[in-house]
Amino acid sequence: MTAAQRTDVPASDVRQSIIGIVQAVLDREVIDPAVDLFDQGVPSLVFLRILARINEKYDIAVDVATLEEASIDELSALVQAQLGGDGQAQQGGC
Amino acid sequence: MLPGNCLHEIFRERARAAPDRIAVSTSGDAVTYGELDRRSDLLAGRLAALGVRSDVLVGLCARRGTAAIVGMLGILKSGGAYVPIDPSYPADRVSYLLSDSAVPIVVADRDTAGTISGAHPAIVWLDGDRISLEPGTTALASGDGARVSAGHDLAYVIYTSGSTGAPKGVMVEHRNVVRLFDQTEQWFHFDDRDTWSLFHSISFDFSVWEIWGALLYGGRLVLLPETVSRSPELLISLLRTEQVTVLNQTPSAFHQLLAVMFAAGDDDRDLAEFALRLVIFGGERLDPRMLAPWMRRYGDQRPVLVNMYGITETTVHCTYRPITIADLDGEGASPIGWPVPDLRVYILDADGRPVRDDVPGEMYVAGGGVSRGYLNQPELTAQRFVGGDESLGEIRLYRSGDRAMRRPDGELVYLGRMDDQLKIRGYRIEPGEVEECLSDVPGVARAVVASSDFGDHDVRLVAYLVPARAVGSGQLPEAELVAAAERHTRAVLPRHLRPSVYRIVSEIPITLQGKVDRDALGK
Repeated sequence: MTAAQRTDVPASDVRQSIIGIVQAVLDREVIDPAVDLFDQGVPSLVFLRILARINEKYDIAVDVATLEEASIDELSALVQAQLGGDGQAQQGGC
Repeated sequence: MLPGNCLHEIFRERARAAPDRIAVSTSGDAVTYGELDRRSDLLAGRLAALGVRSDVLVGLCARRGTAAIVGMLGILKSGGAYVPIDPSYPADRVSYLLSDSAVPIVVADRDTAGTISGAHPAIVWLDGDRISLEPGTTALASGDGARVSAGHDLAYVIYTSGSTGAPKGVMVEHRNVVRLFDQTEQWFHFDDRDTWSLFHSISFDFSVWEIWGALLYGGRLVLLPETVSRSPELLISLLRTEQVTVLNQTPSAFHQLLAVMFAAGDDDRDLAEFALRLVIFGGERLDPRMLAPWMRRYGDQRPVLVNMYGITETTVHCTYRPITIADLDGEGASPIGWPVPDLRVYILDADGRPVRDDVPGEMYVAGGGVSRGYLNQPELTAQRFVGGDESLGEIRLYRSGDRAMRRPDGELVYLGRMDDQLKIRGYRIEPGEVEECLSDVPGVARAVVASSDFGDHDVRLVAYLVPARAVGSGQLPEAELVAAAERHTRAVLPRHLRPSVYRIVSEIPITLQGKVDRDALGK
């Protein structure tokens, strides 16, 4: 089942592009979207780079402090929430 | 001189002198010296009643919270030594640590029940102010009853990566730690006005420096949330609001902080809002040039930036070197300075003879920081804790495996490892340990790991997998193999030992000497 969880699962555009960003920054195809990235060998510096790419792509500032678990699924939900809410107001970041 | 021979005795002195002072704080909670003393006394009483006394190892399973500090102090006060059992480790690793250390009792925070419950028969639970025993917990067959702790009693056993596949426990005594602070006092002048941040996990010995640097001097220890390592912004904000004066960092972690502080268009942060007086680096090689943006903005006087070289086996730190603006002109060598006064550092050749100045050799360390050795591993202890050449006049030296040279002015320069050991983000990684785990994955014929530099301090652990022949056909075999390997590392290894990147290769490059060519792999 893990192989099937790569890129070919139906997913929203946001989730799909976050998967793409993780794969590109991590330099690894195989990643489980439901599992905390830190559990899958993602170091904090790589995670920060992933966040930077997400912020750049969507012109937002993802607030990781509100992230329960650093999985792709949780990240996608957070990004979607920010895009739907006051995402634009937060652009520029801190 | 600190007022006592044991960590908990000195703490107790501080608690008596100023019981209302804050000892430990978190974002929502603060505990005074008096309260911490009282709570750890209660735990110590329970442990002593269960038969804990000097040199009895006691597991300590707690996240970064007040319970960890209460547990640590309670164990030490009972005479025992703490063995950190990280609740975030996989069950396999937890059970290895419990069985290898053979701890007869575990002190656990109630919120780690998911990890530890059922993994050990004798558990003393900490639940806020309450202490309770896991049903069935019985007293140890104890020898002599109450006794006074001595400096040569064990204080902790911390596990480090092992080259043969299994991690090994390093046994450190109270006197090893107490003298570290006594000996470095002249440089740092720690006192009760200092606020320390606990940035590192209690499973790593940088935490020993952070915790006791506060508690031996009447200072305040701020327990940073564990998520701080993934959010430099949060770290910066906490350093400011908590008015931290002493910050300890691996160069990798500090680099992340620099990246945020000196992000384009955001370079006018004023240090006046901060109380930092010392930033101490350890855990891995420091290239002073990475500090250029910081030093150009804030200079090198406040805070003072200090590089310290050290190894768990020689009790946190061995050497001391303040970094100055002049170091920015260097060529990337890692200056580690001069030994802590009660340590002798020798640079020896392959025959164990001292080399001349400016000639690289292996670092050997002698003196008060050299620990008792590896738990239950007399052969390994004899290999690494050696007598040395007679001409040195030393009884016991720790053979570091680190390459260094001594400049004519006496200063030491760190050059790297003699062996395959990797240092990634300050974590000590024996490739053999990760490789053994990966070679257990069905379909993997051979596995090798190496560090690979992805640029701008982004160094990652990369696994190279040679597939077994049978896996050469079918759909996405490589992805399946990687997925299986990744899942296996997740089940067996702690996070810091899990590879970040996987490469399928048909063969492993070999050096002329017939060894795995990790440098070629990393390219």
